[in-house]
Amino acid sequence: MYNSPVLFFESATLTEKLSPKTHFVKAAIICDEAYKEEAQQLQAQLFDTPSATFLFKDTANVRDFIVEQKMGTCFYIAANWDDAAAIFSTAVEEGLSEEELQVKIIGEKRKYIYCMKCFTASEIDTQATHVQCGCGAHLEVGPFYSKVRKGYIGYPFVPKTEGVK
Amino acid sequence: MFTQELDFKTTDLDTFPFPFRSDNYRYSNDLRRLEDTNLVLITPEYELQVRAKRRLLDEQPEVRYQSFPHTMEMQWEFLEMVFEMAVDKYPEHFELIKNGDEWTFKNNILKEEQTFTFGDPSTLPYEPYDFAGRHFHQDFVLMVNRNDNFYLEIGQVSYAALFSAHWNKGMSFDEIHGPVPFVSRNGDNLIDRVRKFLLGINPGEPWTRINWNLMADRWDVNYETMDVWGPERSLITPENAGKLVRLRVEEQKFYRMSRSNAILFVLNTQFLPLEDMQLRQEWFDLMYSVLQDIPEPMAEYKGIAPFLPQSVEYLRRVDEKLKKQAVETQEG
Ligand code: HEM
Ligand SMILES: [Zn+2]
Repeated sequence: MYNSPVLFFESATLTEKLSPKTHFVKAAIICDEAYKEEAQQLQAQLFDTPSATFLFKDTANVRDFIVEQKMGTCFYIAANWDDAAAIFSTAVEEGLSEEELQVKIIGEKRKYIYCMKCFTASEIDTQATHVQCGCGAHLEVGPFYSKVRKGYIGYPFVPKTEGVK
Repeated sequence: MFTQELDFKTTDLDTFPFPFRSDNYRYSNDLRRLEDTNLVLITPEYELQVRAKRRLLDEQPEVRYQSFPHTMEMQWEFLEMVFEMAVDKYPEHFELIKNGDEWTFKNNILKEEQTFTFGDPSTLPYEPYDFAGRHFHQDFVLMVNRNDNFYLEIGQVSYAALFSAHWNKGMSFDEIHGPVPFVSRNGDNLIDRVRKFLLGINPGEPWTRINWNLMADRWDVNYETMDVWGPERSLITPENAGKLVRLRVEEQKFYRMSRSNAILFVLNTQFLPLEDMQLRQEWFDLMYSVLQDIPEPMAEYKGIAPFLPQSVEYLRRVDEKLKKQAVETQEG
């Protein structure tokens, strides 16, 4: 569905540090094998909450693991951006809501801008406040995100040096 | 590229939805029950506005019209509703002949006639919602009720300010209003309150409110052309504000659709230059006092901050002149 949650730069599910969410009876941890200490640290905080862990090299079998979990399970994901985005959308396809997901990105997050001149989304530096689109338009990076357009709004402007028409 | 050639204003002041009722303006849940529930309206500018709207739809189809493929049934519901309203209110201008599913719609003002099969989109030159909307000068937005929110699933938007059907497609009521500093007089956030109010609207009992803005020498402001109108705003001076600055008003109507349960949002946009405020002294006085008291975040959001002081100065000079004239007439 077009209004299903997606993973984006300021997603509500993103966290700096995985930590147990209350009101869940079970935990499922999906973690890149290369960063398995993330899974271990979380497990140590879960105390007697039952948990299942899926350490992956690639995300191919993640759907099976998600489907196997029982109702009332909270999913904790630690991965790089591309893997996390893939796991996130699989989880949403399998009916999970954002409340049931927590995501820690290892490394850089990604951010996309949607150009209001040529109507295309492109990746930008996450710190940038102003960028130039491939179509030539200068864009101010706006604070609003569209799930349908898959980017933050890019407001067109004319840079001062090009003069005011 | 679309031009700004269209330069019109409301000539029949009785049809101009003047927005102010008190001498200062703040955001509020200002919805009122709609008395004349028929949305079709023929003004002296009807033909001009419809032609301008169609030109925009043809020149910028991506910007002006958006829909999801799953909305077809809702589109027919809309078509039926507006065509029936048109025939009901203006039988001399519109006709709808139904022969089973074979329908013929006639628009006698534009001298157009279209026969089509109700329920079969391939018998129309555009999607049913787009086709029906092209016979009326308003903008039409369909907000579909899912869970406790409304989502923009169809939009035909040619006039409304800062409203991009393209950008807002699929957004919830809350997401759409993200940019608005939507706080009331006592600082309450209005989003939830207004959304809950909309959830309670019943079929057959539409509501209305008026939104307003000022335009600097332009009738169309949207995000797609911000690079153009952004800098132009600083060209306004107290000397040219009377002609170039226009009060732009959106008379908004909200209908609950009985079959789809969606809210149909209808916008009738009208314009009046500042110099015409003098035609109604009461409007002039309200305008002058409201504009002197616009909160900074509201002026910034509306995009009027760069020419608001010049507009107020223009009105102050006119006010001074009018008062002087009044004294002179008394003395003379
Ligand atoms: C349900 C249908 C509605 C839709 C689709 C809609 C859409 C919009 C859009 C697109 C904007 C401009 C946002 C931007 O700057 O990007 C806007 C602004 C606004 N809306 Fe709505 N709206 C709806 C209903 C309402 C209702 C019921 C109210 C109030 C009771 C309301 C109050 C406002 C206000 C105060 C603004 C700021 C306008 C200004 O100051 O110029 N809206 N709306
Ligand atoms: Zn571009």
